[in-house]
Amino acid sequence: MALISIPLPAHRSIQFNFSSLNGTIRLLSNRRVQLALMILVPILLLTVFRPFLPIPGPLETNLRAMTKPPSFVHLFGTDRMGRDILSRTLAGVQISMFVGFAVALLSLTVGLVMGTLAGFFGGVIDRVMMTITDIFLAFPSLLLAIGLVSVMGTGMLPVVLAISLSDVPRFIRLQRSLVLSLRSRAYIDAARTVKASQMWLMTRHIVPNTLAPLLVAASIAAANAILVEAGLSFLGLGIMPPAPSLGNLIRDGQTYLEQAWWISTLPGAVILLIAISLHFLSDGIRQVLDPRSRK
Amino acid sequence: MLTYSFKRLVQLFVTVLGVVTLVFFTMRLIPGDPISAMAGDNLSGAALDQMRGQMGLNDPLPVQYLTYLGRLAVLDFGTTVTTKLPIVGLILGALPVTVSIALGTIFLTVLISIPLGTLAAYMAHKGNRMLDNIITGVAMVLDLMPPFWTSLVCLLIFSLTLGWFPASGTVSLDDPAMLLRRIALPVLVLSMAQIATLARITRTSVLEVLNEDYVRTARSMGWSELHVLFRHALKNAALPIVTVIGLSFGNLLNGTVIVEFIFTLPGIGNLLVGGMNSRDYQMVQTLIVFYAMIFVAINFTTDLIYRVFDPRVQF
Amino acid sequence: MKFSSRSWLSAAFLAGATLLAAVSPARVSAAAEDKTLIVRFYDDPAGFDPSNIFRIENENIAFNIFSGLTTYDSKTGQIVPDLATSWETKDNVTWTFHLRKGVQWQKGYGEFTAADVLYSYKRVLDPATASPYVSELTGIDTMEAPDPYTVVIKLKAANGGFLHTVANYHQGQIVKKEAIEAAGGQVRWKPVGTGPYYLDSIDVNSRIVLKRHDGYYKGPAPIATLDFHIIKDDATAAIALRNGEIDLLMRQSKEEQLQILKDAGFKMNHVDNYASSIKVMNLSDPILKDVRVRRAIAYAIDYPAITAAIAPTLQAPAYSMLMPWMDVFSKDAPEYKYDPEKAKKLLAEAGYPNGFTLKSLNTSAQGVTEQQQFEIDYLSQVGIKMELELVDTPTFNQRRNKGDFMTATRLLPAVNPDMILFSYLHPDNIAPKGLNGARYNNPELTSAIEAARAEADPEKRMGLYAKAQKIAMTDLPYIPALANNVYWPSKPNVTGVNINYLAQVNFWEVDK
Repeated sequence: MALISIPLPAHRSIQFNFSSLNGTIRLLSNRRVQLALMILVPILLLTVFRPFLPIPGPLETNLRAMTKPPSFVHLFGTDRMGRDILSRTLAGVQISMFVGFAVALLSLTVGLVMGTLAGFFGGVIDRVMMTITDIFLAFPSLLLAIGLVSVMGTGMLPVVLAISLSDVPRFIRLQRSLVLSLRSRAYIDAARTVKASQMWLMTRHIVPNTLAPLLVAASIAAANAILVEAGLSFLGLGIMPPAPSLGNLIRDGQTYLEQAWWISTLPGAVILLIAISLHFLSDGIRQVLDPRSRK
Repeated sequence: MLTYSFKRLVQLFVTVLGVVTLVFFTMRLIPGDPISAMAGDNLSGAALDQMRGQMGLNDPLPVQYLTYLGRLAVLDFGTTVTTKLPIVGLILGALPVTVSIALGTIFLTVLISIPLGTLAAYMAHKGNRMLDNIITGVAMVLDLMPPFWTSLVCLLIFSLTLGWFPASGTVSLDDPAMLLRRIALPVLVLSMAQIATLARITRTSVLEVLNEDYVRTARSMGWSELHVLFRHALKNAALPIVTVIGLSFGNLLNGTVIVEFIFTLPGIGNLLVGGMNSRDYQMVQTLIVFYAMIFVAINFTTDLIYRVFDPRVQF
Repeated sequence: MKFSSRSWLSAAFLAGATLLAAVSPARVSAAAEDKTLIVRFYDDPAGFDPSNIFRIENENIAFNIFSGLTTYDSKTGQIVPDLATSWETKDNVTWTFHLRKGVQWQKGYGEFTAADVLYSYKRVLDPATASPYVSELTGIDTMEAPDPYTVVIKLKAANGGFLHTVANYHQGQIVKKEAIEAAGGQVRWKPVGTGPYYLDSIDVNSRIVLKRHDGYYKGPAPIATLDFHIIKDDATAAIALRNGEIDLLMRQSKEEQLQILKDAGFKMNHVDNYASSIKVMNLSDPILKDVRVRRAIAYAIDYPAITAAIAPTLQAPAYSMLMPWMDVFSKDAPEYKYDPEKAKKLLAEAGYPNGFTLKSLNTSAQGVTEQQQFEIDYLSQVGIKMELELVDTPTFNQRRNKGDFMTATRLLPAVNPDMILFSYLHPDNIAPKGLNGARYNNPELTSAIEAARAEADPEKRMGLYAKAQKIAMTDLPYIPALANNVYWPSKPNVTGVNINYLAQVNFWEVDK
């Protein structure tokens, strides 16, 4: 499966509060974030309002319009069963986006909590946690996916769990390394000498400073999850139609590449757009959160 | 350092044991066993049970587990459950293929992404974001294309239309020319995803170093831009880059599954998927143990490198 | 790794031969005789021990290595002599086979005799062999060889289909005692038979090489070497054929790839109606136990329209569990042609005017197929909500064998119609013990097939089989969906690719 690329954390002491209005405005005024939203928002709107658009439903077959190239009637063309690809793509976006965000959220939350605990307290907790993450990292994600799908059946939950299970250890390790390097920083030492409580140190000084790289990693994980789901679909382990994920659409269409390029290429292009804007979003967040790379 | 290494080795052992146990029980929790995997459309339940007894699959689980651990302790990896072939032989036969793909991919990736990332960082540092954006953009698009799709497109273009590379054919180390032609496309497909990652990390690391004082000093001492970039900046940014390369090697072994399937290469991924599909417990367990050991070894080395180079990190 | 050095040698040899050919024209024919056919093989081989063989692709290799007392004609599917030149029976109980003389075993194991036949059958019957095909031979009471070229088999009960049992397939394939003993635990990788080709070498991950058995009783095959390359992906296999890397593509199962190959001028070797694909109705299910519900499902789906839309080449509509080319096929059984109104009426009569939920167990190997999506579509039009349970293949097989499903699909690949009827409809074979996954038990049908098996008079036998088919299609424990066709596209110069009704090719007939 695709490698989750987690950009190296910028080891900086930045004081930034997410919930502040100021932060949100700065985020929204970032060019990359704007670009990402310009792509994501219309796609999401179209997805949400798909039932009201003048296009056939994603499951409606039409034996009189089989394998038709893109036209004004079918903007993305039709597949072998005469189903409208645009409609199917939009339905697929819904599913794929859900998978992406569910994986990102799950990995981020678990990674944040466990990684902070491991990094901050060290000792036995750290060792046990690292051993467990090692075991999971050393376990091919594909096997995890096959196992989960076999036990739970094919569906949204096993796919999200399978992808998250291989992401979580990476998030824990990332968070741990962030906490480790922050803990050894001089200003934390200073705070320690004034006998600040552990809790206060963690919540006020350490965790907020790890959010930037974690969020960056999360948005990339979301983009990756969409692609990994596509790969799982290719191996027959992904989310099953008739409600199609984007991965399914590409898979179904890829063997028709020579006769009907649009079946897999157009949904593929939409995946690309979404994934790219998620990367832009991650870049934007990093730029806003890390003043030094904001140039 | 010695105590640390020893502690770490104990931890490694625990990790591998954990993986062994996890895989053993996961495989048996999953519905279906080697016999049901073999059954096609004309074998009855009674006929299958007959074979099950023959293969010792009806023994109690703890007995099977202890037998397995006992054999593992003396490095006896056994034979495949259904086809009775020695597993170590199969893995040793498949390893060269997968390792060639992985090494080829790393080679191509490093060759392209390090200069690209360095250049992008330099441009960004100089305030010219144009090239930076183009490089990042192109790398991103390549990175995000599903490998099973790009594989087929590559086959259609390079194999069918241009006829540069064969789509099938035997691979072996004895025939390096054929091996190279056969792994060229998978390497290309896998590199697409890796290049983006590595170029981004190179760019970030080099950009950070370019802002450091000593680079400024080097520059003010009159070194040429190229010299500063490659001798000072890149060298000092090398650590995270090397780490990522190490980690991605472990990941590549995992990622070759799809390309091995499409390009019909008899590598480790092929064995793993085949083993999973035929529920060949012995095969999957052994592969995972191998995989875990490689992974753990890479991790160990990475940790050591970190420790040597970055004394701030405490363990 | 041994292959490449060998192929290098043979390349050197070929080069040498070419040089010689340039010098003396007389050598040309000798070089031309050393033809190699490269064939696509679509999965990892699982071994070729007849007592434990699985899956068509492995069976096809074994089909060319071994022989049976009888075999199937490649074109008609009829039983023809193989190692036995003739046979006689008066009552379908005692069978006398006269064996061919002078048949040579491969790899120098001497001449084939009656002792080999007895050994082969006893081996399958031996519990230590744990052969899944043992039940095929348990009907044998006594076997003897009055002389080296005669075998007399006495059955416990009359069986008109016994010639299928001794055919070149599974338990019917004759092995050599000495070769089996020499192979020890590796019998599946060291097959020795009397067929047209012997196994030369194998790399389980990539390649199987068969060489011509020069002492084959019908004379040496035209092709000297069969080189099977494992190519799992169908699209890749098609590209390999178009690139000229392979000569013959064993089984292309993607409709769109077939279209491309056809348009590109490749030869489309095929066999039609090789097996029917059926929907197994679990009769212990409270809803499906009502025959009206089962008929409603059959009426609700327009399979001819589905096949025409998605796979006109690879599939055809089917209305029976048996295929029209089988000798006992009957046209008088009821057929269920698409009629949604009738389906709705039947559902209402059965007490489901608003339909119900039909859970269908399927393998996830191909994801949700277009056929399944159409089925969902058609069934929803009469109010039936079909839900797919997709599980991976081993799980699917296990649950299907246990009978743990509401409805599931099965393919019925067989040349012996009697075997199909017995396995799927006889109460002795109810799942999980046997293949009767519908748990169907109708004494009237049971006595019809039992009587048919024992009946020596062909006409009466046919009547009994027709009756059985009529009852089966009236009760409808299995709904016939489609007939499958098998395609082996090849280069235009490849001849004699006759796919039999077991979807196998006898390579002795193939040339290029």
